[in-house]
Amino acid sequence: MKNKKQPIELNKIIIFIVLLILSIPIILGYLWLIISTFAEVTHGLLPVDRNGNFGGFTLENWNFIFEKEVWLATWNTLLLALFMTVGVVAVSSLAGYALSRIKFNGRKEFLSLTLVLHAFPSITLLIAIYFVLKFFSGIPVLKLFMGYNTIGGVVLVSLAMQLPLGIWLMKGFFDGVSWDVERAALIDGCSRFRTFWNIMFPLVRPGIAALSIFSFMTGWSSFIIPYTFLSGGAGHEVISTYLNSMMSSDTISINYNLLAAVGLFQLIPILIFYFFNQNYLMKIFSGGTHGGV
Amino acid sequence: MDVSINNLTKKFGNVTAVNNFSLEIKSGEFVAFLGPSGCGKTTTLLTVAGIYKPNSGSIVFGGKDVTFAQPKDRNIGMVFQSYALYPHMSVYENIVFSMKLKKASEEDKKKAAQEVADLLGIGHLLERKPGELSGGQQQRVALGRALVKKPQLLLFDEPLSNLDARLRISMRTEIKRIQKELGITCIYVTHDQIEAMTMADKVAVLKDGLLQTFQPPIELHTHPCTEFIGSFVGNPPMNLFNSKVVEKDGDIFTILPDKSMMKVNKIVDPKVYNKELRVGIRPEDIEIVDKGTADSSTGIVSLFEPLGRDNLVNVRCGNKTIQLLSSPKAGIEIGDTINFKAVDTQWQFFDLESGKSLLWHTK
Amino acid sequence: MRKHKKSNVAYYFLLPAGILIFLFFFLPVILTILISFTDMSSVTGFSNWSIVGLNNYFKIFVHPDSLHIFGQTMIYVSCTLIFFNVGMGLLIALLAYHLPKRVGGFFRSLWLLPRITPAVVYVLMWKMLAADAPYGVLNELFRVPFGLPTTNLLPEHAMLFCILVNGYIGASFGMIIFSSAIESISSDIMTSSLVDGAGIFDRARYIIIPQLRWPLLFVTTYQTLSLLTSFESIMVLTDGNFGTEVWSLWSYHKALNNYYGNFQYGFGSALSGLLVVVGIVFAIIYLKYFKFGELVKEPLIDEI
Repeated sequence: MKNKKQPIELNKIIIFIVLLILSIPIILGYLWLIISTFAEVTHGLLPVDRNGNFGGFTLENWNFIFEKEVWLATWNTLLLALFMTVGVVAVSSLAGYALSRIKFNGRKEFLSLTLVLHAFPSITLLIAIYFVLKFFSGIPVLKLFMGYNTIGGVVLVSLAMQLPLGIWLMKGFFDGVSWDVERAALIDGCSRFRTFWNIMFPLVRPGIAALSIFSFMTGWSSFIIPYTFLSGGAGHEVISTYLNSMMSSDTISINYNLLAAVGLFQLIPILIFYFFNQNYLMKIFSGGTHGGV
Repeated sequence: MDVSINNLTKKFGNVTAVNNFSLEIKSGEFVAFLGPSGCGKTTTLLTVAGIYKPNSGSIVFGGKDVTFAQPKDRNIGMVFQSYALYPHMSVYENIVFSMKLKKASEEDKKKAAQEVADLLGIGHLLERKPGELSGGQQQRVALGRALVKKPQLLLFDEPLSNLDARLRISMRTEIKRIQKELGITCIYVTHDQIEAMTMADKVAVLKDGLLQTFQPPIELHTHPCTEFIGSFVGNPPMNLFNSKVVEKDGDIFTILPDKSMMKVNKIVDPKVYNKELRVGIRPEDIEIVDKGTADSSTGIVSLFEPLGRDNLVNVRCGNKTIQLLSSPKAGIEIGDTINFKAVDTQWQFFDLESGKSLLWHTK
Repeated sequence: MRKHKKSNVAYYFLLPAGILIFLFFFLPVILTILISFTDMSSVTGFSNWSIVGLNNYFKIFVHPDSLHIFGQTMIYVSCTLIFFNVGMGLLIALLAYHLPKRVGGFFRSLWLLPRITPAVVYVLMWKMLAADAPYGVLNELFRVPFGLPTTNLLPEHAMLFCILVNGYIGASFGMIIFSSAIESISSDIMTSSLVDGAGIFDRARYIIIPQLRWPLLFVTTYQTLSLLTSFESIMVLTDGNFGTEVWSLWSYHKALNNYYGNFQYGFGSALSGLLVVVGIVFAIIYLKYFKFGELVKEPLIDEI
């Protein structure tokens, strides 16, 4: 029998309304962002023209995409996100494999360390990391790739911050692969590295996909690390820092509709990834996020 | 290739999985490791494969010590219960993977794959992925992958337990045929006594990490060296009870739980009299007699199970239940009182303490 | 008998991770502590500093701002934690559970948006929600129509907005954990409790919440630490103005982002050193208390 009793249905409607009310700030925020992107001016959620009359729909806020500065920042963001993703996946899966599959002295200790770091608020280490990067900057050649005020340096720091999560996640995925398959590979003539590369790595593809998407999104959105370790200015900005400097500029009057457009520009790839990979991401988030709230 | 396992011990933490295990396997022999789950048979097999390293003891392949050699350097093939095919590779790629690692030419690979495919009848499956195959087909591919290396030793880890009953019987014959055809030395781990009895030249029975016996299958049934083997091998299981053997008028007798006496033939004389020991008799060696005699016993039927060819009858005998087999024609029902008598040459006697047979000795 | 040679292969696999963890976790922890014992600043430069022992820690103790920044931190952490990371997370999970799967899933996805939105874009939205009329969304929607006076709400209620901004991100963590915990309660218990006459509110109170003890404890402890140490959104939102400077942001400001151009590395490190110690203590408690160690299984292949 279907449950068509009146009180239950009423309860559901009340619950729906309560949830909707609680969600108002999120809905309003997103509505504002999207509406403002395509309006000359926005009053509340109302798109208006320069004289305050309803209308004023325009694409001129998107003119920024013809500016070189934006594309430099976008390029840097892309570099940061891509290199960080490749790095996180490579380093985490190597370490995750060893921790899941190989017996060695200190395995327990390394695993505990990964867990401690997973809970540890790495954001408190920014000051000291500044010194580490400064130290790299003092080394010839190396300073070009991983010193202070280089994208390489930011990549390394972001990558390291992501490792406790990445290693733990990949270890979990490797744990799920049948032992017999790996034994068969060893008997067939694989070395441990060969087993990892030819057999195990292809078998944890879902894990690699999940971690890649998560890392890319983290890198693409990251603010505090590039903000701290890049000096800003041309060529040393990512979209987040570019947007932030526009937002907190004291000299030019702020064009919020332009800000909305740049914000949406940064948000679109994230939303696309999110839309197609929600279930993966839910799992990772519940595995414990890092740093942020 | 001869395989000798000498005083092998393998521990996991404080648990001893294999305890001082020694065995000599002759070239071309098909040896089964039989025992209940957790008895250490798979651990022993994986140690022979080189996946586990023993805590002590050694493994020698054809005169060469391979105790700590890497699995890939042992020239062995292995077939797993879970098949363990590489799911992302086609059947062909699975089979020739070990050759690819040795950088064999395309031609050699094709030829070798064709050979094993013909042997196993899987030629039409070569382009498929393992996920598209049935369990039986997957197991054939796994066997092909193990055989393509032309191994000197073939290891099986419960390879048929995931198959349905019919397929199991046909694969049993198939594996045996291929083994004889190639004359390859095999170790076959199973918990299924029928598999061990029908396929193996010799059976090693394990319990709690200890080797109980290493004998040809038929002797296992007729000459159990320990009480464990007596009770583990054979279906329905052997009747076992505590009792004594007594001498009277030059004949010997054993006392059943209901105090009745049954004759023991001198060829199975334990030579221990008037002392508590463990007495065993298989259900198929007890027959129903029409009239009670001096050396028969009487009891009430408490349970009755048709097994097909025979009926399994449980009879109350003193404070114990004795199981015996009857012909379906006998027309026995629950509650009937019947007279029964053991075949006097089929008694088994075990030491109460050590469980060792008083009649037969382990080699 | 030949001895088994131990294989080193695991260490090669772990080498890259090991180096990065050393450079960006180990070394920084040690550096933070070491620098906190010095008077290093942009005045002394990187060469002329000297060791001052526990001076920086004394300075924290007597600093005129310490007390109220500590107070603000406590307010920020406890309010966000209680009302959002735990309270709102639990509420959303419970409410969404009682809706049809699709609708509930929609709300869960909606609440995850703040977490995945780049921090700067997300804070921009909140700034415009709070802004004065005619731009501010809240003013335009909820004050102008009723003829109420309008103002930029952010400076007026800065701490409230810091809590809201972080809370709407933070709620999703608890929401996910609680949702999966609720899903895992046996449906027999769920149904039978209703059959026994409990309303859905009684059921939430007497059946569901008692079963969430472990997830509640986990979310509370885990999020306390995150809130204590994170400052990204506050920095973008108010940069610590209007009484929203919290401890972690203070340390960041002192050491790396000083308006007066005087970077006090030593003092800043002492401020964050205290957080590092709290972090280490918390992390070790997790390890012991949540018995993560028991998840560690031995590999089923020996050293090869």
